[in-house]
Amino acid sequence: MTTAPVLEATSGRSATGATGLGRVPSTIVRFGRRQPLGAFSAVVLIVLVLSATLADVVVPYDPIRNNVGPNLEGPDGTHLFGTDHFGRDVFSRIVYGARTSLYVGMGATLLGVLAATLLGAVSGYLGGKLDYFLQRFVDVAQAIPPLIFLLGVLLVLGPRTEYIILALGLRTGLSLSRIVRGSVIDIKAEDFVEAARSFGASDARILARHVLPNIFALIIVLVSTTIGGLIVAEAALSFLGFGVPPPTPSWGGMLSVDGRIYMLAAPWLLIAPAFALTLVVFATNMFGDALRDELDPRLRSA
Amino acid sequence: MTKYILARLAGIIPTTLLLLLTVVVLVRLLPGSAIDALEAQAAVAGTSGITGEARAALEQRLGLDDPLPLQYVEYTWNAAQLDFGQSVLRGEPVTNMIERTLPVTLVLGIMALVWATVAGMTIGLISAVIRGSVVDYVLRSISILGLSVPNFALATLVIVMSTIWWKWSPPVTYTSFDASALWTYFSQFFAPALVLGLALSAVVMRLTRTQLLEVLGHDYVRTARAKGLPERTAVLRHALPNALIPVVSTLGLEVATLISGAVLIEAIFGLPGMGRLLLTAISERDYPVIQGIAVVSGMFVIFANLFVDISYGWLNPRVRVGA
Repeated sequence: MTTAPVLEATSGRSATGATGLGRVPSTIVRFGRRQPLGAFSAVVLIVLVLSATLADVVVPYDPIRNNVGPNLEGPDGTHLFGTDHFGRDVFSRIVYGARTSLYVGMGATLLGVLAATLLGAVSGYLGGKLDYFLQRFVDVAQAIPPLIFLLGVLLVLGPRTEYIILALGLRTGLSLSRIVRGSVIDIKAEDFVEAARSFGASDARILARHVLPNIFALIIVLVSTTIGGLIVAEAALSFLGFGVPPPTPSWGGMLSVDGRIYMLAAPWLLIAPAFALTLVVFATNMFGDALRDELDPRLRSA
Repeated sequence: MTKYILARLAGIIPTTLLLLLTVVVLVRLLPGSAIDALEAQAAVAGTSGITGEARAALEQRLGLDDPLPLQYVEYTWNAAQLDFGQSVLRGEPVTNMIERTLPVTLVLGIMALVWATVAGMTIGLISAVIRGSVVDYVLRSISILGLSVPNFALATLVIVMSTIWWKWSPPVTYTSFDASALWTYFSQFFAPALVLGLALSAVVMRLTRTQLLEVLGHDYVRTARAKGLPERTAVLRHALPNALIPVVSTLGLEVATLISGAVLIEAIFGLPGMGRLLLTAISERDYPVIQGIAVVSGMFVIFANLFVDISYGWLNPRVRVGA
């Protein structure tokens, strides 16, 4: 996990004597003590990431092979979460579904936050007509309800996992750039930026050396608070049949409208993905909140 | 105040024009034209494809043969008169289709918004007043859970589980509005509106709580208490209105999320609203319909935020003077 280096790097501001890597374990312990729910969520997420990465080893059956067991068989020793209407193993599909969720969720978050940082920093720092123009684009992106925007973009691009990441990242990047922009405008007014400018530092240098380091905590917070929503967004698209193309397992797809007819006879088809999705979103939200409270308490009400 | 409202009103013009541009450009970017999609459908249906003159005529009707700037100006001009063209497949004016489905979405959305706001603010207020107690902790945990359950998962759960446990399932057929059977009409929205508003109520609850806690620490609340006002008056009359200002502005931002949620909820509960029309139009690649819905819902969000901005100025004189 990236937790350790992140906490290490940002707590550097209030360094209390200990230096280097020796501080990492104590930072984690302190995080765990102050944010027990956040630490619990981090453990859930680590388990999830590990099982998704090691899915090939963890999983007892091929998730896309039909008839590995009888159709619509309830949970038992051989099939932990039962089987679906094609006789596929639901547990295996849930584990592989985690891979899809995390791949799309993390990919879109990283892309989105990167885009938000670039757009927000340029728009906020340079200001003027360019800022006005860029912000009207952000207005439009925010005016079109997210799902309609995503369905529209995917209609143009076509159904591919990478395009879903692109569409989600684009939409997120435009929205989040507002927050980055606001922060950059604040920093621009600080004395140290004025000082750097009076020494003749170029805009590029000021952005890279003074502005970006100061929004680093904000960027980490944005990543951790965005990812849960994007995992849901991917699931929603797959639920509607516009997401990750079948037979790739996806939690949203497993919950889809078509599957409802089988769910009445086999409720485990519904409970397993619904629970998985809720748990992951709960864990990412809790972890994101805890990280935010630790790194930047001013953002608490945002 | 009038100047403030006028400035905000003028501010929505560039956004609206850009919204229309996005919608026009998006359709131009589509791989293959709307006509290719029609052709594919015709092939499936077994009828002859669209070729030669018929194709050219259709392209002309959809305005696809015009250069982009002209297409944009025409679309904007027509949209200003609430004309969004015709459905490619059905030949029906898009405006009619939206007129027919929008009320369903509005009833659903407004019911969700109202219950979420009332419940969220009330619970947030209670939670803030009894902060630190066990009940406060329970209420906050429930709200975080409410934020974490995706609405489509919950909706599916509601339908499947209520059928299994109570042999109750939401009405399969939609009953149109009838003034003599108001209960039948509105009761079919209860379950969907409850699910749709859940996440929003959690957002409102959490924000009301944090804002109220912050405001309670301010000097004017201390003064209100110091001059001997009962705690109830200090909280309800002095703290609450100020705490609710950020909550109101969040509601404006949440309108877009609510419309997105309505698309899913309408599909699951079988409500013939604008969201379900959108999904049908997408699966049929009926571009004028998709464009029309994108514009109409975009305008809803823009106006919701305009309304919030104006009420913001009204609630908070500092903003009004600054503008």
